[in-house]
Amino acid sequence: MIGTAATVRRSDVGAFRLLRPRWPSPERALFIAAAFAVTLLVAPPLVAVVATSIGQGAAAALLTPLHQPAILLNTLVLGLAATTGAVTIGGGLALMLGGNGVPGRGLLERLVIVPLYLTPLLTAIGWSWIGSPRSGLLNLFLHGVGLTEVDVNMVSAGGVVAVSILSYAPLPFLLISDALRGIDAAMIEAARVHGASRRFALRRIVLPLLLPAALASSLLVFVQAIGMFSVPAVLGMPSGFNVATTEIFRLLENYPPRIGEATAWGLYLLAVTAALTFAQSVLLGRRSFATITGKSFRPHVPGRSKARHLYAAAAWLYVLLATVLPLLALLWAASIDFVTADPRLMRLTARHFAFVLFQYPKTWLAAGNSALLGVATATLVTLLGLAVSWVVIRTRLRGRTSLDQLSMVPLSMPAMVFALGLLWVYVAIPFLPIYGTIGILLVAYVTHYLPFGVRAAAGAIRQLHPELEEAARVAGASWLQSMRWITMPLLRPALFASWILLFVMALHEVSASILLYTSSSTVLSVTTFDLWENGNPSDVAALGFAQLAATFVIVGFLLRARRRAVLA
Amino acid sequence: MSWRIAIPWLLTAGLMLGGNPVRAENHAALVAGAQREAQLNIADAAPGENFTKFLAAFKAKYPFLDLATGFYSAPTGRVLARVNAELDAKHVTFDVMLAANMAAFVKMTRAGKLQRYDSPEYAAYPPNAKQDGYWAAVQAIGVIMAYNENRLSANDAPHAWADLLLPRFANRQIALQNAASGTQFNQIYLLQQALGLDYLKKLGAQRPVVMATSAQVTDAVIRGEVLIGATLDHWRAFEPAAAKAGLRPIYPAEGMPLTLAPVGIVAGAPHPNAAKLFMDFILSQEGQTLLDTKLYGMYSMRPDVPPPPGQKPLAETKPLLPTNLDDYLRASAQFPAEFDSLFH
Amino acid sequence: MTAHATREEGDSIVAVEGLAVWHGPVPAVRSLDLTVRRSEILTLLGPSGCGKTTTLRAIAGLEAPRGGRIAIDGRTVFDAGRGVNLPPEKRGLSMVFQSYAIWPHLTVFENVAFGFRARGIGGDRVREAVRRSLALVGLDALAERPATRLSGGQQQRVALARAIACDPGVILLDEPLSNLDAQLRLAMRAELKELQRKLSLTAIYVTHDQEEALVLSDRILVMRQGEVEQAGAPAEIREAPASRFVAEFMGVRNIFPCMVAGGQGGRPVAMLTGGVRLETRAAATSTGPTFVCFRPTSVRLFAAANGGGYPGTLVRRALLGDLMQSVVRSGELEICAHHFPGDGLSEGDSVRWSVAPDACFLVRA
Repeated sequence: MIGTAATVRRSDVGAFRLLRPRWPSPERALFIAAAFAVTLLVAPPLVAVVATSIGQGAAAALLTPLHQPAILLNTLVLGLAATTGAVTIGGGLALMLGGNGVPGRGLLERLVIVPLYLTPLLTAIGWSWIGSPRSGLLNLFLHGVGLTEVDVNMVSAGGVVAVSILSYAPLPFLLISDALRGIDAAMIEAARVHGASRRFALRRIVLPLLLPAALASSLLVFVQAIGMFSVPAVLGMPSGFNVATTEIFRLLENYPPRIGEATAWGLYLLAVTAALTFAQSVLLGRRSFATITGKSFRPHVPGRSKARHLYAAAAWLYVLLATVLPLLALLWAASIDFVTADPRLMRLTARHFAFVLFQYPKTWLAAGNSALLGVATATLVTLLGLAVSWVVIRTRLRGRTSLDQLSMVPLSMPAMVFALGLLWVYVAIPFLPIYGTIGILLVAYVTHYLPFGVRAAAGAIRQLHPELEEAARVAGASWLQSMRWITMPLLRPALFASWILLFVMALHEVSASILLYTSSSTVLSVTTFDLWENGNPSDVAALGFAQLAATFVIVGFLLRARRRAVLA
Repeated sequence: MSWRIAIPWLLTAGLMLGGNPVRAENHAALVAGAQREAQLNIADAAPGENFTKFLAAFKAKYPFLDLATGFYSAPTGRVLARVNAELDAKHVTFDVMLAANMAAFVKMTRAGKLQRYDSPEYAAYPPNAKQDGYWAAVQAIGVIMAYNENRLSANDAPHAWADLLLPRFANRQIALQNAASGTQFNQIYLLQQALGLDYLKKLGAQRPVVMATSAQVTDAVIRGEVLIGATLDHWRAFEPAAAKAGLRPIYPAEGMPLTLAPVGIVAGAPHPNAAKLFMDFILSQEGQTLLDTKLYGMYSMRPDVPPPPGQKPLAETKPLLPTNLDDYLRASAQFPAEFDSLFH
Repeated sequence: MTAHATREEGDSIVAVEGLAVWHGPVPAVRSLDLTVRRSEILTLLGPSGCGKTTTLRAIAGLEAPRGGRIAIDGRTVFDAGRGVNLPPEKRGLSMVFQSYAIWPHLTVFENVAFGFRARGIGGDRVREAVRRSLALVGLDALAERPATRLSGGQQQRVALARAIACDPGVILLDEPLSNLDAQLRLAMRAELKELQRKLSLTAIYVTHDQEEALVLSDRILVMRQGEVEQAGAPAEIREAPASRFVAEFMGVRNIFPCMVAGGQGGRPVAMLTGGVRLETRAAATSTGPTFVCFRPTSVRLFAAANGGGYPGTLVRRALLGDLMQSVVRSGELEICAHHFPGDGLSEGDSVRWSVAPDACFLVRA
């Protein structure tokens, strides 16, 4: 028998709410630290953008985008076309490679996502040489084989859309492939047994189950497409196809820089993406991205489709257009004396590589900065993303949903708009010495990529059964010990994979960097763009190709190291 | 000899032999001050890596100055934006600014954003290339045309701005530079002054291709994407690599619009003495010859500086410069919209 | 405040008072009391959603209750009134999870030794304890095997070994057998019982399987919607369910509404529809709707020609393992009977059925 103990009546329950016994402080401390960091990263620039577009020249500036309906329309058209194309191609590839016994499937799956490791800037530059209306290699080839009527012009709105689709298709491919793998084979088999043809089962069972992944990747691509600077700058501006980002760039390049109007454009972009994000969360609601996760569950077992060779050909075509051709174009331009389409004038030389690697002083400075920023960004985003996701998924602390939503905000902010906000914030704080240094770039990168880190960590944590951590706690391990000995080792493989991708993405970031860099804190993407604007195109090609080659080598090395670690 | 006669002669002789003692004294004070400051922060819009070589020559004279730490190199628009942002925030880190946008310098002088320094070198500059004590043009970029001799013969190439309106140059055969950079306004304004708005409209009707920068215009001509590069920075046509690729310059008959790139000291500069030493150097004949004739291949506004090799002397090119600064400033505010309406 | 005004033999190791756990706006456990005595297995039995697992997790410290008190071995580990809430690692318990929660990146040995490592204990003492535990569950040969290469049954044993290795005061088991196939489940059940007896373990066991509860427990708490419906020894729960819910849960198939009247010898008589009158063995103590219950094994069937009992039609029959199940429709009643096969009756026959008076009992709603 227990001595005097409080008898709990219903009416007392409310009073206890104030004294709600909580988990011990490590979780709460983590929550507070993560919330603090995320707020500090996300809020000031956001506020600065809103405040500046209202402050400087006020309402008049806010309306200027409406005076440029062509640019508004172009931006929306680019977003919609790129999204539709990317999801169709990416999703199509996912379905084709997903389970039809396609020959060379493993290799193809790896090659299809290579554009994620390239940068759209270099892809666009490569295609500008392949697809120029008069001096493009493709047209010369086509005319040479007798198709004189055909004229491909990639330096156009169509070119911008096409290169965007090629660059972003891997995103829906990844998300939809994952969803496809998550469908229990039994579901499809049940349909087949009950008389459904393969195609009917696809339409009525598989496609609806893939809808959340398709919607999520659509939103992702749309936000990227309308916030992208490099491709419209290279392929759109020369043909008069201007979009919001190139307009922002132009307004700021001007003197005097038209700050109010630039931030007004930024605000419009922000409004569109915020509205879409909200719509998506309403549509998908709490519907999880995982389909069935039952106890006994086999992933979809591939059969052999008659069209599998056709599917392979389609995949190879994509790889050719998105990866091989632009890379070859870069190599070509880098290896000849000057860029010309006249075969009689093409002279091989190594001087551009020599210049870029040994003489151009910015190369190694930029490479060093980029590498440093890449490592720092990937590490910080992984850790912060892990902290946020862990708090959101594993604890029941109040306010964790707000933390999750706040950390997703950068997804709706185009990087360039975000950089604008950062500029205003830090120029005004003289005692914080990061303005004009790598520090401000790091802030921009970490904030921009935070949502990826959070989502990657969330995916990894969800795979981990919570009882594994609970068992450690009950067995006597403190929260910290459980983290160190159980959670982290089990999360490490997935986190390392996302680390690598974050590293590469940080290496290629251009939209924010181009507003925030200085000559001592320049990075590779800015140096490339700078050479593209002011220098020799062959030098651009040499720098670009060298950069990509180095990236591939490093990533290959890291992936091998990871595989070895996982197997060990 | 009477002392009363000798002393003035001796003084005069001393003056002539020793140079201006007031000057020498000022210079020594500047050097002493610069030694204490030990750093100079330059915001520079001059393209390419040649400016670093120029700075190396300056550093050879004053080795105690750190020129690298605060050096900022970016296109004109960004340089001006950065410096003005700092001035607005009252947190100035730059000492000296060089940018190819004369209108901006005029405005900044009027707004008290530039610091006055009466360098003795100002005397050598013509009045339309400076504002005494505040800024002077250290680079003059001519706007010319160019063609690719592998695609066009010298006879078929245009010789005057008016030739651009010929039918054979219609439909994406001409490349122009985008309105974003500061130099472009200057070029179009001067062409309008010389040839009239009607000319510009007709040029727009030729449907030229608009490229982001002058370098890309050059590249488009070399590649064979267009026949003619109009509004080309003249020095690009004289680069050895371009010449090897077949690029040939054309000095238009009606005249050559000139874009001036001034240099000046920012008000509130943290290292004023070092800044003044720099102004003295870059405005001097030695500095100008190194910068323009030897390194950049651009024109200098100092008459005692020779033109770069292969280029026509400045006077013979019929240089066009703005005559009414107020009108110039007013037009600059409306420019990008105007450009878009003409050429898009 | 430390507990125990009185100390009985087998004093309480776990004492829970007024436990209330809410999941958001929904109360999962409402004001629950329980005690577990030393060396006893207490089972929380009930359907899904009744709050049994939540109660277990609250005792372990894995849930944040809204109110109540929990004391383990005299120590208060949770007290809502005084804001006491010890984290799981400080409660001195061990737990076997439904998913086993075997850590895949560690070997079997490392899994079992984890508790020692967490407390900073190492060396021979640990090795000895681990070997002993593994031997007890029959897995001493697998000590160095990586945990990813274990079958379901082996994982379960490792989980068990891990739970007993550190000599805990109380072991919590959350449906440990539900993921095993039927044969393995029976074998493990017997082994568990044996282990508990051998080591005199104190345990709280959660299950939805009434058979399992009856075999393993010293005491059972039948739970429903966050509250205890009935507490008692297995025999008591089985023979005298306190309510219709408990009766249904314990497998009493024949439950019919009835009116109660007095009968000879003080025994109540249940009056069902169709004029069926059954004598019952005990008096129901509460008022309100009453049901009469009897197990399928208490029903006797015989051919219509013989007298006695009530008439009915044999609607269907099926062979269940050793016994035959026959369903008889009698008026509006559907009687379920379990008996040995070979009674010569077939579907469609008219039959007569009866129930022994001792086998019927009354329950409230």
